[in-house]
Amino acid sequence: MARRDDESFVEFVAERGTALLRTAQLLCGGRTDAEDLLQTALEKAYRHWGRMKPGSNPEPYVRKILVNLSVSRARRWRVLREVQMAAPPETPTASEAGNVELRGVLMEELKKLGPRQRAVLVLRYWEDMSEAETAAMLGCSVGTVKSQAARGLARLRERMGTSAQAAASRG
Amino acid sequence: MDLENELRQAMAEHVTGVSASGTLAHDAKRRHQRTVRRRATIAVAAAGVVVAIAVIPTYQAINPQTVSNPGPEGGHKKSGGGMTATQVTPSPSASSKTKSASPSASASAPGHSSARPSRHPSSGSHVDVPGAAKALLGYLPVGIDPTESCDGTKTGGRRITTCRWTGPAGWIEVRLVRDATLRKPADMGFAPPTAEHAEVHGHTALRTAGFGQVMWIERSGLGVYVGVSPTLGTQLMHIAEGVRAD
Repeated sequence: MARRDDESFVEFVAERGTALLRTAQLLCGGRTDAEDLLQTALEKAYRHWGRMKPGSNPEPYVRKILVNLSVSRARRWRVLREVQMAAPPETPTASEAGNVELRGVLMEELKKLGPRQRAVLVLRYWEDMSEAETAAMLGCSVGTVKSQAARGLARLRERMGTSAQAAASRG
Repeated sequence: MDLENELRQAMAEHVTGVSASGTLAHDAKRRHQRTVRRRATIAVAAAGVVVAIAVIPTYQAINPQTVSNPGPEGGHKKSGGGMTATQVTPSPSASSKTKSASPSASASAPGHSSARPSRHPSSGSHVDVPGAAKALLGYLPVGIDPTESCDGTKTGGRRITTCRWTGPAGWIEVRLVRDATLRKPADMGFAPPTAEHAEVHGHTALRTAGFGQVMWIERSGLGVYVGVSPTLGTQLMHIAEGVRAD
């Protein structure tokens, strides 16, 4: 049986590295940690690279490693959400560019969610995966994905509402 | 507000400009090699520890003689290298000879009259001296097996009873030298030139701390030599004070 070689690994990383890095950054928040997370995921994938079938797409496998790593790492480091604040939270202000600032706040609130909820939202709304695909990626049921996504969005909505009210009162 | 769409746009804005470095694959490979090396090192170290823990005590149990330093025999040929040639484990059947080996017995005791005198150390005859040796050590350090092995040699007018204790902590060797001509510790012939003066049981002793040896004349005609492994060097005088030669 033919096996994947080193060259195919380099090609894959060159082709999909940026997309994977973006997912990693959304999953863990900071750029430095995203690079570290991706390197660890790629190292794990490289360990088993020779055993993958040449015709198969390795990206779902690498992405699954990435998601699992981010969740388990966040569980290990309970303070992850605090230390991952690359910059102080922006305070929303009423301005013409309100939407842009609102998105900044939205990202900060996303970082504050639990790792699994964050992973569900990233996979569903960034990777545009279906609920079934997300469930397969996370190794849980579709119902869990639905509930996690609903709770995550509800929490974001709640926090965004609070932020909007605070901005309105300041403006 | 369509939160889902806002979230999509926020994510897209957040990762705008993010791109992977060109060395990402190389870095991942290097990281993998480092992990493999680290795991191999840990495995080798763990195997070494397991071997050390399992094999060394087993080897010592099988061959306790290997932990015994030849002691002064190596540097002082007068002491008789033949002493390590035979080890006699004390046995009840040999108890009749014990009495003859005690310090109170004279050199002309019947039990030893048949031994052929010789001035050459290696040709000294072996004399079994079990029983009495058991009372030699009053202080046994932790890690030393209380079971001793003794043997004896007779060379001319000199009889030497050698007993050894071994264990994970090291080894102890006690020699009782019976010789009517003994007057001072140096007469035993075990003391290296760098020995320093000490005192054991109120008697003048010669001590070589570096070699873990001390020797003294317990009484006229009876000399005592105590040697220990380097691991027991700090307890040398304590062990010596615990030696009962009669």
